[in-house]
Amino acid sequence: MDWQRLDRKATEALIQKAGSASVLFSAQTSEARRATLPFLDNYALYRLTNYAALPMISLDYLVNENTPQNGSAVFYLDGSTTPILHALRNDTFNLSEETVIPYVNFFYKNAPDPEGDIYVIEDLESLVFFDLLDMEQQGQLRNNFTAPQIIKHSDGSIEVKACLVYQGSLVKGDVFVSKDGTVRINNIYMMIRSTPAYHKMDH
Amino acid sequence: MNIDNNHKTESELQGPFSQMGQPGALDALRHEHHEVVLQKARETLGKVPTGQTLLKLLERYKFPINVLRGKEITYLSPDEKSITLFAPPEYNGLESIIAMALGLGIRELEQALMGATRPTEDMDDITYCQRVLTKSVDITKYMCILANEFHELKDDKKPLDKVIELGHGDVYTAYVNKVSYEEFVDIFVENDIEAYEKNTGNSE
Repeated sequence: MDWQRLDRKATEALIQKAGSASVLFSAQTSEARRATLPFLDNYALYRLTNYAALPMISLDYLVNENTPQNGSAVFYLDGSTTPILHALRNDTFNLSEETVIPYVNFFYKNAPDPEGDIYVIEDLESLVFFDLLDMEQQGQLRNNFTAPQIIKHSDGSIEVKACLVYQGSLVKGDVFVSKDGTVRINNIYMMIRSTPAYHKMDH
Repeated sequence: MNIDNNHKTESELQGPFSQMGQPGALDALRHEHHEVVLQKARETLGKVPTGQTLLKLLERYKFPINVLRGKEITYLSPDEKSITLFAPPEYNGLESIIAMALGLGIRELEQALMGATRPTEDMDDITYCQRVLTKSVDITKYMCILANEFHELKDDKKPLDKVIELGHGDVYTAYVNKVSYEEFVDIFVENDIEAYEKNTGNSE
């Protein structure tokens, strides 16, 4: 995720938009960041972080940037699929071969599965815990890894056959993304059952 | 302004923290299963010795606890008189992590009772930083204690995985190896700087 840091004025504006959560933030001690989402035209991802809170706290929002100030829709990403699907309905959902993997990873990052992380592995170099696997597991992964294969269906949905981090395991699976943004994963084949715990970076 | 997640329209409240305790200030973010999440967190925290000690404090002082919706499990106690927990809508299986967050929230209130209150803007920079460090080291140590107890006594590794995910893996190892307080602080600071740089891209 390419985050762009916002200035004090933009931070204040975002705090105003944060609704009742605005009581958690002040422009003096908080920072706002923005990231473009390739699968949405009007909504962008915004993050408010209060560095003075112990522990520091971050909340994420989907903000429609192209509606009048008073009518702008802001969705708090609360961990459920609801705000994501609402934003998609209020915008043009650009689901394509280029955007489907960013969308799937965004979807599961913001509506996380309680059993553990889910994301598509595009290449082994970007797998943050690869070096933490033992040599046998690294070899097993290198031998079985396949780059994501993307199939567009006539109804507009897209299927991605890919290697995934899935609830703490490394699997192969078929990820289906429908035109309305719902995501489901089928045909899961286990590659490595248990992945090492690792420090998550904010990507 | 509409926060549309639940089609709720709210009157806006402004300002940092000071109004958190006002009735209704965060109602729009309240977790749908507030009572259940809290009850499960208390029950789970009570399964480990340090959790039991912290719960005694909670029972004695009856700190108010609010549970809000959030994709990350964490806590806040900005007024040092109440605890705000963030828990995801799907919380089953995450009870021990939420319990750890509750335990740390209680510990932070205990810090305040012992005089280690939140730093204030009128403090000089050194005092301010010392206070932040003292409180953060203590909370991180308690995080390690609780994660270790869940792992060792309840065969539940989820809190420990959370500790590592937060970037405190080396600190946890230091705790388990019973290093001196000074060495523990050094490792904490080193890890904290590294985590900050990774998360923000700042390296100054």
